[in-house]
Amino acid sequence: MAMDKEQFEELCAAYVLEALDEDDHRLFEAALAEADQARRQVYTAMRTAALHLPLTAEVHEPASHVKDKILQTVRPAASPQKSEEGSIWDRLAVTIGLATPRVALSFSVVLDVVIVGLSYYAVSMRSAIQNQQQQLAELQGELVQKQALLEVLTAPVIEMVMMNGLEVNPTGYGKIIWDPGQGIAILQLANLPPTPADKDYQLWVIRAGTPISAGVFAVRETTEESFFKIDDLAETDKQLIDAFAITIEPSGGVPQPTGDMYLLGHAL
Amino acid sequence: MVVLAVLKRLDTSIEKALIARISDGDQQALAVLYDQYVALLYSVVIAIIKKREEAEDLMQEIFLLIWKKASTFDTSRDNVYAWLTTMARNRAIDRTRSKAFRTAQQEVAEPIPEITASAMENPLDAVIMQERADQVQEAMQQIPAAPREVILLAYFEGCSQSQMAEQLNLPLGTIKTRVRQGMKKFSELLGGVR
Repeated sequence: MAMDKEQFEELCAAYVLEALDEDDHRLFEAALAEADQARRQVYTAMRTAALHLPLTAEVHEPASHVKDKILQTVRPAASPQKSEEGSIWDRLAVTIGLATPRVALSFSVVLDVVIVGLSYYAVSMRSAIQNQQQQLAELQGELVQKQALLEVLTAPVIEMVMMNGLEVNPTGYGKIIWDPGQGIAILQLANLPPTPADKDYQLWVIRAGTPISAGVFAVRETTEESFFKIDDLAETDKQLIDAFAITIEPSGGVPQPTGDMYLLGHAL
Repeated sequence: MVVLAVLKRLDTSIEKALIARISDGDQQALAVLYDQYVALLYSVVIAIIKKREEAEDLMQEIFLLIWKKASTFDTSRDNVYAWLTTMARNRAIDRTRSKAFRTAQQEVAEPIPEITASAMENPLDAVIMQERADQVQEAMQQIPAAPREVILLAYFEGCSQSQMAEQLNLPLGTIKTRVRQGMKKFSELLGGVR
């Protein structure tokens, strides 16, 4: 029997809160598997809302020793100390019977295998180290960018404009935090779909009804939130700006907006 | 044409890289993830458990679980925020269901001092988190009290709809309606589909 809209929403709301009994849980998952786009959107919106519930909790922090204890627990055990007694190999040889040629030959084969294995391990380790070095470089890059964010946030005077998603993408939202003194700003975005390879998003400052480009950017992966730094937001007087808008445009941007508008925020 | 410099979101590529490093046994990465998430996860845990000592003990358990389970995290599909908050909530609810915890609950819960976001280590994270939390809390306050109550009961106490009906002494149908109305309103207020 087909599920009506109300029943779908009822089950969906409880599903995202993990409050369904087993039978209803199965029933909803089956319905979701066959849901049309409108119902999937209902599910996505409710799931996103449920993911925000942790933020309704009052903010607390544990005592500092909690972190210490965690890090102490995950610290690898100290390397076993090397024995000063050189006779350990002798004792090992005796223990495993290396005194006999046949056993010694077998041991030699095993040793070859171990050496090959260790060589392979060394290559893997080198690759892992390179990978980690790359991650470290990325993190250092992020640090520089974060400092840029702080630069704006710590400015003596900042302006903020909220941007809301339009019909083409109603769940999107954005915000411009802007230091008029230095002409730099941070554009914070959330829930914008990734741009196709041949497209970019373009930010517009709308002044006296005329859109002026403030830069282009791409969103390459689906993320909840992204930040972009606007290095050259020349307009310093918020009173002169009507609105900010974001449209999707051909890669590299265009002189005047041509594509769908994703976000719009009025300055006043 | 000005090309905007990308400032990647703290919780996407960086966090995924952190999880990858944690799965490789990097303690420093765990420390960074801890600093970034401790306030959020602990706030969820304490809201459910309500006892500081028990909550701190559980935080250790959760971060050790992250340490052990990081290799199972699918960086191409999973969301770090959702993975961590779900893990913290589920572990806290499991803890409240344990016999030992229920016995200890007989004792009076300690008052827990609230902290402000400004006390957190990273001022940027604090600003962003506080700002978003303010928006979410404001949206929650706009939901009528009855639907709000069932949403919070479901999330922070892990109650099923049948359990809520029993606990609130209301028909199951009423609970279902309230859950639906509440979540619909909440998602609309947060910018979801109408």
